[in-house]
Amino acid sequence: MDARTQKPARQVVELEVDGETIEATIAPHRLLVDVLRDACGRTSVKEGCESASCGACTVLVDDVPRLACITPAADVIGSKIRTAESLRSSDGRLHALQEAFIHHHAVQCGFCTPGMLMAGLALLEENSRPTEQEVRDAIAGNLCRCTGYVRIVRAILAAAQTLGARPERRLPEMAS
Amino acid sequence: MFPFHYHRPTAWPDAIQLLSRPGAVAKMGGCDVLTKYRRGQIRPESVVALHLLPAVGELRTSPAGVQIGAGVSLRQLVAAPSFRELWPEIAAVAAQVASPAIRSAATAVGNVAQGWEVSDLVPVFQVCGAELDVVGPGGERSLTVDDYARQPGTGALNPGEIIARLRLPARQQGFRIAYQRFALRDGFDLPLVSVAVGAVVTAQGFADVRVAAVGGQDMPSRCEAAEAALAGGGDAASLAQAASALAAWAKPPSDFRASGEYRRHLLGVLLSRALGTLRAQ
Amino acid sequence: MSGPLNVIGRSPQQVDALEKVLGRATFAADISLPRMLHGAVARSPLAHATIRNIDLSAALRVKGVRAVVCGRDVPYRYNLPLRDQPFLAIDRVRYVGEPVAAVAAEDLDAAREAASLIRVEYEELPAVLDPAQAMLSGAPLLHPEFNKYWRDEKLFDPIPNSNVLSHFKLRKGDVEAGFAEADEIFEGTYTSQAFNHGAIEPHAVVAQVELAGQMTLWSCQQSPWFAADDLAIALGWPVHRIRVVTPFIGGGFGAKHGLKAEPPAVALALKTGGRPVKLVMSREEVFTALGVRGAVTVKLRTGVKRDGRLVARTAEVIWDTGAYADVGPLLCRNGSYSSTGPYRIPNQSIDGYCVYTNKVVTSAFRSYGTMEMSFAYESHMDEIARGLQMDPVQIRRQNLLQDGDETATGETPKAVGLVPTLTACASAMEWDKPKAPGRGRAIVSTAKSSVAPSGSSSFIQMNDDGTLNVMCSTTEMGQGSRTVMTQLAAEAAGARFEDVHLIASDTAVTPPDRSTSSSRSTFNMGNAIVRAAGDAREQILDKASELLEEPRENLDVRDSAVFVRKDSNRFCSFAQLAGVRPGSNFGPIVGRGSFVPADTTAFNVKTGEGRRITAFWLYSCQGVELEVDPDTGKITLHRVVSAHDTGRTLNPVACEGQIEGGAAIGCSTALFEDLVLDRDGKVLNPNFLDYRMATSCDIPPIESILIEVPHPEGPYGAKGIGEGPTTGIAAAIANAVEDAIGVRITDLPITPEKILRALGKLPPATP
Repeated sequence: MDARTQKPARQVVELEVDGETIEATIAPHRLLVDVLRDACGRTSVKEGCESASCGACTVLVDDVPRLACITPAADVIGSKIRTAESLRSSDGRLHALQEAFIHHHAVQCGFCTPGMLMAGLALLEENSRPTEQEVRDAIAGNLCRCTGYVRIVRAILAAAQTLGARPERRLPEMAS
Repeated sequence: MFPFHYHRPTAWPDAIQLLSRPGAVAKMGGCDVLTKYRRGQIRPESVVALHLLPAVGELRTSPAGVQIGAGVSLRQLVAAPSFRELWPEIAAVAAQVASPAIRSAATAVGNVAQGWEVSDLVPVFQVCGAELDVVGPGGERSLTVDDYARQPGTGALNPGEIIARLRLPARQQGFRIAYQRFALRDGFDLPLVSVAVGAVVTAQGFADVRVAAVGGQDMPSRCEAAEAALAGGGDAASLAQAASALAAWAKPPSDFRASGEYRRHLLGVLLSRALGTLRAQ
Repeated sequence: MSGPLNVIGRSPQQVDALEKVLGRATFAADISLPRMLHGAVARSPLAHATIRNIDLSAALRVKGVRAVVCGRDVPYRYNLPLRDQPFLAIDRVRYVGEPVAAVAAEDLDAAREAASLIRVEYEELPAVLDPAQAMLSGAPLLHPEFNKYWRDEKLFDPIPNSNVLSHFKLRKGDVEAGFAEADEIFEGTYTSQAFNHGAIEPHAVVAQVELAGQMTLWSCQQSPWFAADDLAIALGWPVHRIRVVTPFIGGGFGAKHGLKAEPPAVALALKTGGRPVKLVMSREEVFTALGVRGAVTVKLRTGVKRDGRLVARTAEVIWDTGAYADVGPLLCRNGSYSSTGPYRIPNQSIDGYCVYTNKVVTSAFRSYGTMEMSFAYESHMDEIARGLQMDPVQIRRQNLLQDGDETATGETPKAVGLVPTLTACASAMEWDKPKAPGRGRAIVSTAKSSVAPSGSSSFIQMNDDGTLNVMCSTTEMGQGSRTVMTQLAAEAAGARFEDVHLIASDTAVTPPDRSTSSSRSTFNMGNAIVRAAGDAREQILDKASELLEEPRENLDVRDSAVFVRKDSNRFCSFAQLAGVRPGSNFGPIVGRGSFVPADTTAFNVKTGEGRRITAFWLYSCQGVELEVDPDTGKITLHRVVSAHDTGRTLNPVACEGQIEGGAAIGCSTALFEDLVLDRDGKVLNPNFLDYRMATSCDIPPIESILIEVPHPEGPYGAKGIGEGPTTGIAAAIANAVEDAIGVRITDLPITPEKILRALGKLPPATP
């Protein structure tokens, strides 16, 4: 009873989003998707199901893919958050994934696109030469109703080729 | 969304105390708790995050056994070479749970702790004889995954109790696991039923056979009748006996996903396939 | 339109791809306006009940709440052509999830909290969930006041005092004589399940009613003019007071055609003193209350000659429309007459019944009945082929409609691409070679009409720099309309693709268009744009003739310039001809185009006849190869070959995108999807985990084949393409399953469990 009537206090936090530091006032229960969209202007972070089953809100938190719809904003203070809006370089060049999505017509309605790009990015940062099945597995949690995934898979594979020259980044090993 | 208090304790006593309060819910990766919250299925007074507690992120592997801290994500588990080397079968099962984004947040312990009717890791842990170390207001205690999974949700925990880690015992010489799952979709799906078999495989056959199934009972469970049928070493006749023992044991639920009959049938198919895989090893 | 084509037939970069990959494309839920409030809806927990009382007081006490409304505040009904649906339930609820009240508050938390505090006193009524039961006399009536609703009597016939809101009848030839003449008679019943549209964007709308009386909706609305008209009629307002702006739409598939999320938002916006209200639906709300592809049962009886000729057919089709009409009456009409399939059948009798039940409302779904019908008639066709021991491709080829043949409704369609698509598909499937061991395969043909009569219009203005703005109410929801319409405008005006800017869509700016639905936009809007561009081009030629001092007939328009044909050094650019800038002599150029297909006629409601009931047909042929795990019943799809008659391929890659996506929906809904209700009418699987849509791991390779049989009235010969790819896939899978393992599934989805039951490895299902 008491807890319900006593409204949880808001706090002012700083988030690092796409390389920018953004100050936001958040209620304790606030989820990352809302903070990114409302306080940080990152409307590319889409909400398709609000319960971890469509992937449209996929962002990278400290380089790993996370679903912003079930991530408390308070948990990512001090983390490096990347949305699809980080993909374009500061001099305006598109990322190879963005180029490939355009070139291969992997975009239809565009609603799943930012999440797909981030799921693809998470894969390619870890595995620079994925097989088709690895690409399919990497985006299995990202639903698309428009494309049948055909061109999305093709675009991610093509982007991997383009990026191929870059060195592979491996996950840090766990202490054992 | 309905507000809740969000606590992120950094010391075990604080966490235990916060979780002892009525209406408090523990959260590690949050995939289950916050999904339920967002679907309006729970309305917690407070959510207690456990990921900042000391040592929850530790994964210790040695021939004497493995300790998987409650905060170790499926992604971390799959990526750890030392773990993959010791328990490649478990790493393979963990690698196919849900999706990459969920595996980044979801934890191996959480997979057990949330007490789902359906889980890929629970039956595998069951056949390995995994145990859980629990801390709480009354001190520490341990229980097997098998015992924990007898009731849905976190019913096996007392108020304030937290699972600190999961322990896998030392791997016996020749011990192998075969895991077979059946899901309607090939991507991002929970299994309708699954079967894990663990056994010491020798030239003579199987020894120390353990069978666990998802979808056979309300909760993932060991099937002693099937284990008994295979105790003789696993000749062709005993394989058939094991399949019928499993079918006889199963009281699978019927729901909109599938009928109990179909689940029962699948259990037999998956058990045969799992045993076939083991024999081939 | 003569001469080489510069822009169409190519696949330029999609005009909206850049903003979409940048994450900067604006969808309705992304819109934020000054002083905007956030809305939430309270919904019925019961399938059927009268409302005795609604207590809003607790909701009004929640801090930050600015408006709470319920049915008595907005006593209007909407929906064309049968106005049966209230903005918010007035005195009765008819399905679980029906909007009962709505709240606008300063933030979403407060709105949801308040919505949860609305107390409604219900008196439960017997609910009827099964349309076959609902049709029986004595069944509880959902709409006892049906006769008081406005309806367009020209379009459909209800059965009085029943839940049957439309009984469609088609009578052609002499069915009894046809059956008497038949050597064999085949019968079958085929059921298609209820499924969700599955657009990844949940419905969202921002509504604002200015104090001066102007209403604006920024909404994920496929058909802005249709929605504005419907709303204007319901409210009794002139339509110019209602402006519908559509940002990008995150997938439509029919779910966003017509008023969907808008009515509760409008109800709130009428009460917030001019403040805008944003209403974004949750996924659960989308599943339970924002429309469904309704379940359909089709009973077919067909008489055939021993040589395979179809001579007679009766069809009885039951359409479950749910609690309100929505598209039901027209779906029942267009879907039912499609039960003939793409075949010549001289004697036919078709009865379609559209029935109210206490369930979420059936809305349009990509193919508008032809998915369901083609599952029935193409399953049936393979059963006939099997019964006659004929090759399934051969029997189709023999009966497929060709130019000069007459359809069920008495129409003689033009440019029929059925045989060519079948031939191409069979060739790609290597039908004449033995199939791989363990595999099953099938090929099916389908035909789908497009809504008619239906009009479109467009304006094209030349800007002062010679670029063109095209005003177009077709909405972009992923199908690529912005790109294709830009191509058409550029081609017809003689402009460069990059000089054409499409403005879509805003009813205050872009001129009337019936809908973005029914695969009609390329044909109808495409023609309107071609006409508008042609009109602009005439004006361009007039002015260029003056400037270049050459007669018009000596001039060519291309690449945003006008050239003297015999001396290409003499030319003027569009920029020299345009505008109102100081120094310009010519004045503005504005082209206008309007299009309605010639001679399209309404149906005779009594006989189902219509001389020309569609402007064009979509002709498709789908091939599937698969295998079935005999132990688990699980199907693995190996390939889909999807051949379609585009008339003229305006943009090959866009067409392939439509085919891939449509075929994937066909696969997903054939194998996985099913919106399941419990006995009380509550949806059991209102989320993407329990409601399974195909993932990236579930879709086989899809091979697209584009066949061109030009339509004399299509823009550059083009027909529509959007809906064909969803059709036929389910039947192809069912037929290939029989080909693989010898059992036939006649109710969708084709689950592994049903296959094992059919194989006798499980006892028959008990309902």
